[in-house]
Amino acid sequence: MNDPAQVVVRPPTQSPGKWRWAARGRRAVVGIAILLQTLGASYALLAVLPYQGSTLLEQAILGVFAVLFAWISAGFWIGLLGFLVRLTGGDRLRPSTRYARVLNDTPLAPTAIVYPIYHEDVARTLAGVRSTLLDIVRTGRGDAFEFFVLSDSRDPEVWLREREACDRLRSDFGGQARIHYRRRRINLNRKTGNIADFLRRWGRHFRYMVVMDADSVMQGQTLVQMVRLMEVAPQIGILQTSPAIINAASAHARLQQFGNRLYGPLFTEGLAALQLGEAVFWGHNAIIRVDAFMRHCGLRRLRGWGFMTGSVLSHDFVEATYIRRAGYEVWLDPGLGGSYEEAPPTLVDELQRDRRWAHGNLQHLYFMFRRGVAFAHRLAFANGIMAYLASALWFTYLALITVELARFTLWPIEYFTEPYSPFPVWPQWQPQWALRLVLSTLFLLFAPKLLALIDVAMDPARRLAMGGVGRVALGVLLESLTAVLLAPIRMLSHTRYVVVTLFNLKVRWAGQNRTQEIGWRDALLHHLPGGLLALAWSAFAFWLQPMFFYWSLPVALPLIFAAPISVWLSRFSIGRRWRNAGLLVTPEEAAPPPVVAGLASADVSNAGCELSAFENAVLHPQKNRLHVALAQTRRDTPARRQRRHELLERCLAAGPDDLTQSEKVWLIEDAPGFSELHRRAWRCPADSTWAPRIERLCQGLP
Amino acid sequence: MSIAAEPCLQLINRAYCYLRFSGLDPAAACQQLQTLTDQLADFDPQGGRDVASRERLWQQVVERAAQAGTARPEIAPAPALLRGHVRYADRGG
Repeated sequence: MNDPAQVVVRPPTQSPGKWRWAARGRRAVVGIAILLQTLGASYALLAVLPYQGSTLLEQAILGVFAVLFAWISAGFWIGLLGFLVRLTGGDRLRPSTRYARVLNDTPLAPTAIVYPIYHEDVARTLAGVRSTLLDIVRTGRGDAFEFFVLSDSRDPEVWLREREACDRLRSDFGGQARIHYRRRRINLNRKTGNIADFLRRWGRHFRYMVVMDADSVMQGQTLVQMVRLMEVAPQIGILQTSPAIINAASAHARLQQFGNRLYGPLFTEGLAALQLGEAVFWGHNAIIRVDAFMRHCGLRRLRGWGFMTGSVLSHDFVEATYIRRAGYEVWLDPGLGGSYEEAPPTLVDELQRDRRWAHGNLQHLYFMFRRGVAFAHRLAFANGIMAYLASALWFTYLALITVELARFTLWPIEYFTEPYSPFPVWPQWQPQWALRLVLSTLFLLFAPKLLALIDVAMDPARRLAMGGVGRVALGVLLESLTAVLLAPIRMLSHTRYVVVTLFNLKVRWAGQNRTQEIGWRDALLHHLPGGLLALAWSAFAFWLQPMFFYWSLPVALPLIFAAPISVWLSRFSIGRRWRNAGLLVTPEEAAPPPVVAGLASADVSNAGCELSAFENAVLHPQKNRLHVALAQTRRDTPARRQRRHELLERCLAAGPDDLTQSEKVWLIEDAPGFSELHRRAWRCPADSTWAPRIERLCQGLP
Repeated sequence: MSIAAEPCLQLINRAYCYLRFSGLDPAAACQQLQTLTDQLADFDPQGGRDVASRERLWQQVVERAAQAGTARPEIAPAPALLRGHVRYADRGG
């Protein structure tokens, strides 16, 4: 390529391979720690089981337990590593520290900031674009960045608003910003197809691309720093930031936001310290070297079987793997602040998102054992799979334990579990061992939270911003309590998703709800089956053995009361009450950076909102001209004229509701037809279906 | 002073609204409307009862709206296409 955007910059001044030795050492230490801890816990479980692991059922219990415990143990060690790294002032190997001295003199290169969107909240998405753009303008380096809103939306009610909001944003900024809106007419291969379509058309204009989510916001200074880092480190293919959750309003989102801001730094730092130059891409809030990405990261449709066919749903991990396989490094850099996203407002929304992610992550089995994949990326795939499979394993574990107890209670005692063995096995329960095991598991789960509390206590600025140690401790208590309540609910839903994925049932691809509370009906529909299952399980446990019933309650009760918990946590009023009480406060709430504050003040609403987007586009003179100007130019054949006439007459006589979605799209994309509709709608008589619409539009005049 | 006919009132209301949504401020829209209604009175002494005269007035409203600088959307040109390929992984990918 001879494009100016793709000129290769000078090689890095430091040896890029230095981190590899550190990675090997750190991974070995953490790996051994996880292994030893898991072996110890498994041995303890053997002592708890009545036949000490001599039956097939108990061996299955042991196997499932070992995998689950290793998973929990990994979380603990990553948190501890993160705590230690933060205690020593951060990892010196990460790019933002390694190249800090040479950054200021580095010129910028052409960078595209892309927003692939699909049926998102238009006002919120464009507020994010505006705020990020404004912050870039503040740095005085706006000339290096160009914005692309890449829509895959199908519903004209959504994409008409997207197009109008982008046009308004562009005219507001005038010559200071370059913002482009493109909508694909055929949304092939979902988000990956959308990005690939952009790259094929305009990728060669840019050396870098920052991929954003619909709710992403990034500080201008961070973006400038990232471009400079990519310039001084040409071996980096992807540089991922760690987005902080902002703007949480519901109780559920506030809990996620608090967890993200308190525990997130520890886990992110720990993960980054282990992965180093073999980190993963999270799909957004990251900068990508365009040339390398175009050369190596095209994703074919999967040619496997069952759920491992079709387009790649969770493309980000795979792209990181491919770019690493091509020799580039992928870094997660916790030192890059000023990167933000939002959390789903309700538990049901979170679980619906998890439904897609579960399928996407399980698809990674297809890539996990491919040639040339870095070991760290194989582990990252395994980690992503375990994020959902762990729930299915936990469910299996509970089922196996129930069967074991039922067998022990209802069946005659088996003294000779091994064929032809002359030595009897005396079944025995060791409740004190069971208690120790439970306590050590709880320690692994909750110790990182305690470390995070210590971490914040040692950081005066963060401590003050979050309301002081006392309030943070109260927040930890509240968050831990709800985490305990939500764990079984998430477990059951994730188990269902894993089963549904394995049987290759359909995944619904939809925009996310980012603003609504959940109603009782939806909550009951979602949670009732799980509640009934838990009720049946608890009743069986009570009938079997009262002690087992008490053990089952921490899992069963949250499932039985899942619907009220879900409704209660979705409430914005509760979130506000916590906020007013100074609970679960994050640094961005205490002192919002301009880019976050800019979200609240951004006005991207459209005049005449009482009408639908289609009605607005027909009636509003400026909007109609905009859509007519952007309509496709087609040859005016007799067939087109005939269809235009038919649709126009129907729309004028019976109103827009008489048209189907595809008919509306046809009219919008037909310049003469849409222009004619505008003209005739304004000239309609007082008793026409369009007259009250014109009145409503006129009432919206300022 | 004669009472304006109902269709004419509707026309004037719509014309004001149309001019405003085309980007004219209230004073400019009123001024335009004043000129146009004067013309309407000249064309049609019966106060806008004639359909053809109303149609002519509306045509002028649309033309005035189009002449207003903000009425014409400036469609930002898309960046020039610079075609490239997204290549697929060559090793078992």
